[in-house]
Amino acid sequence: MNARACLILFLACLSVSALADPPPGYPFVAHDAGMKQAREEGKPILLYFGRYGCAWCDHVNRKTFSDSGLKQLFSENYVLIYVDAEGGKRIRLAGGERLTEGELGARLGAFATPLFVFMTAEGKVIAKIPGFKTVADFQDYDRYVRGGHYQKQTLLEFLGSK
Amino acid sequence: MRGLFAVFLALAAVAAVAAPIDVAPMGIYHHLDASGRRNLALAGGQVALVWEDSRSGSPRCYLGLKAGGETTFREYSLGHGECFDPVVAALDGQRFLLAWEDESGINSSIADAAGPGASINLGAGSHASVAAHPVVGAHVAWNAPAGRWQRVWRAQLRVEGARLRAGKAQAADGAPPSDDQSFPALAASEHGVLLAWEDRRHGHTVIYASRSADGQIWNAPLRVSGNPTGKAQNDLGRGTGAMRPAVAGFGARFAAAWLDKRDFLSGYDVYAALSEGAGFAKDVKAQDSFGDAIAQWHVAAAGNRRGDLLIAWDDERDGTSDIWLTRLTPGGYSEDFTFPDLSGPARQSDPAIALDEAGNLHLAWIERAAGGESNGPTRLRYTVLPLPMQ
Repeated sequence: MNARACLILFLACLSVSALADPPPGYPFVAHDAGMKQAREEGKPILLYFGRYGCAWCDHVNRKTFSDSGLKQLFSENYVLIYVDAEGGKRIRLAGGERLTEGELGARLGAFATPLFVFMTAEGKVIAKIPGFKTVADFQDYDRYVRGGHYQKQTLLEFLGSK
Repeated sequence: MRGLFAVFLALAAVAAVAAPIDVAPMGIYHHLDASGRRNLALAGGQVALVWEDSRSGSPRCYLGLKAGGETTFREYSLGHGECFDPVVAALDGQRFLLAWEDESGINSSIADAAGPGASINLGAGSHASVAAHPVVGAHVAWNAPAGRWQRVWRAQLRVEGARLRAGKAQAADGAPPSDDQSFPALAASEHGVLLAWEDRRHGHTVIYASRSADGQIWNAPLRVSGNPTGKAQNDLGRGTGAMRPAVAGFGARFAAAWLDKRDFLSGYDVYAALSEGAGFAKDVKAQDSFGDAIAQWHVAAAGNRRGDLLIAWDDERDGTSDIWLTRLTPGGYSEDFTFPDLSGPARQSDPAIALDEAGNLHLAWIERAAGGESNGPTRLRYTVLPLPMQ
């Protein structure tokens, strides 16, 4: 194995360790980098709050995030942030406060993983959605977020009016 | 049962020793995030509280000291530059052992009534914990990278007058790590030293611990939490979660408490295990079933020499975050209880607790105004309350 291949393997190992269990093939980034990227690009944020070893995260990754259309939709239109629900890495909230990834769960009221948090480019929470969701569910959430419906309706009202 | 609980609350309100103290400037962000939630300690009638806040525009660490009867804390800053997760333990007489993380890594020092002394640096790391007892000595633990993984390290601290000297850092587990270890929590008593930590060697987070009877020789690590390891139906996942261990010595025994997600649909629950011989008895749920349907956070534990053991946490069972406690009784853990200052429409959270030998509960916590944002500014409060009758 040459030096370049060794370096790639090493970086791949590091990224697995740092990001725990995000779905493969998606451009998930760490919290602070994602918040900065969202502000710069003016894109909404999908924050995936996952737990290391979580069965339902595994399930949604395999059944839903494996969909190529969903992968394209999220990769092109959102900044994707992965947060380890039990992680000790420190992050910076939009208001400047520093806390750990795990502490973010307490702030978000995260009682189950996965928890999907849609946010504006400025980091304002639009919707918090726990548990397993299908591709169709995520397509609905995308319409709610990028269609700006959250400014006039709750997510439940929007889904009820489909 | 709710009626009995109301009576208890009323009695507790009457018996409260003093109004809560606002420890630091209000309207900023305060954090009580010591690993093991050991932000509060008692030594020889002195109270020490350590915290991090944002008054300077970035996270800085502070030590507050007061004699038992005083109504204000004398304040001292700790560390250089951004500072996180200060931790404190009783050392001897009226002295305390401190540690914190700043730009230079993990640091430790002794504090007496005049404030903190010179610090020593232990190198890069995060989430420090300290514990000390005259019989077993002073100890510090932290997690730091070891190749690909975070690994928990511990070192004995030699006390030379007002100065510390660190012994050689040892891995909490001598076996090569196969995944991350983090958030160590130390407790010490005349009966030994306990070190617990989060461990991901099984592909999910569980609690491990190691003990030393004399502060010199440590037992091989053993698993303390019974959160199941293994794939769920349809070959999914690797196991449920457990995190943020807090430990305490009480009487001749030790306790470890943590947040446990074996019931994965309703957030973390408070579980605890008590030492038994060289190991631990089977862990049990320490909270009562009124908290089962909602998430618990920020578990803390405190004990004293006479054998009292208290576990505290916060949850939103009554609509907003309140601080709840349970006490170990001869029949198991008591029904959960709270006190008027620790509950109500404001958001009370992040308890740090200590028990004195007279049976008083010393408690510091973070409070956000009623109706405010969950990320809004906070106040840091402290009070002392009588331990409820068993």
